[in-house]
Amino acid sequence: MKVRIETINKTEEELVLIRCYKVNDEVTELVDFVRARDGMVSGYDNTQIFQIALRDIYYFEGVDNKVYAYLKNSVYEIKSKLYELEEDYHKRKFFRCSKSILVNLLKIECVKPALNGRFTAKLLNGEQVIISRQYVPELKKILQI
Amino acid sequence: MSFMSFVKKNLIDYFIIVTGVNIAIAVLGMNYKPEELLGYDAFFSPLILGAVAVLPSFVFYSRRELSLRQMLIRRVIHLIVLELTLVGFGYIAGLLTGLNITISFVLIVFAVYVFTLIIRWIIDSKTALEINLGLKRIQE
Repeated sequence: MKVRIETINKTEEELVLIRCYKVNDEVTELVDFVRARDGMVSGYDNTQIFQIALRDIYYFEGVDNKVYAYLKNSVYEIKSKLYELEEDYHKRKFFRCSKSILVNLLKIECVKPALNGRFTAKLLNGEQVIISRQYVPELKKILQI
Repeated sequence: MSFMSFVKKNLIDYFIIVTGVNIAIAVLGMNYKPEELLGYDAFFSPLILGAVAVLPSFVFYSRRELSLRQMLIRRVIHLIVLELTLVGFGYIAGLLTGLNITISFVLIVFAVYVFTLIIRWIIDSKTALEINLGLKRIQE
């Protein structure tokens, strides 16, 4: 089977196209692999690498030039920049809520105004993240308010 | 927030205050002292008052996100600096002439400050409610 890779612009949607005579085991295996990869991100925990499902991530945080993914009870380092994650996953309901945090909108329990003129988002695991005032119009746009 | 964004935001506030002071001078002047004639220098007072009101806001500038505690401390500092600059301006302009009027002025500024924070809280609560409804929609 020939393999052809075509580089596209960031504005276009990435697509894996398999052209085959019939859907055999080999093709099914390829499809399963691609589907498994879709929505997954590699997380590092000291020396080990884990494949983490995006749906399990509560938020990404940038701290001192490193990015961490926070799950319900665990944290993994991610070898990507926060802005790259923002570009890649904004369609998967990840929203830049402050300078250093990208939060999963599907993991927010509720939003409350904070005394410091900003908003706090309480997550389903009980953690709280700040939503800066400057990002609120973008959030309202995403939520079509 | 970058320094330029911060300056831009404060510049907008400045012009809003200048316009507000202009309207206040016009409305109060027409009602209470319609016979009074003002010189060209009167045009400077809204501009100066605007600057006096906005300059203390630079207390809030930070390149990093402020924590709740840091923000509360800066809020208190802002109120104190704002009171001092407004009272100072009042004395220089000859508006505050005695202790009683100064105390009343300080209390009025404090009341307006708290009132604006309460209004902001009410507006933010409404926004939070809308966001929560929107979140519920996409989560379903």
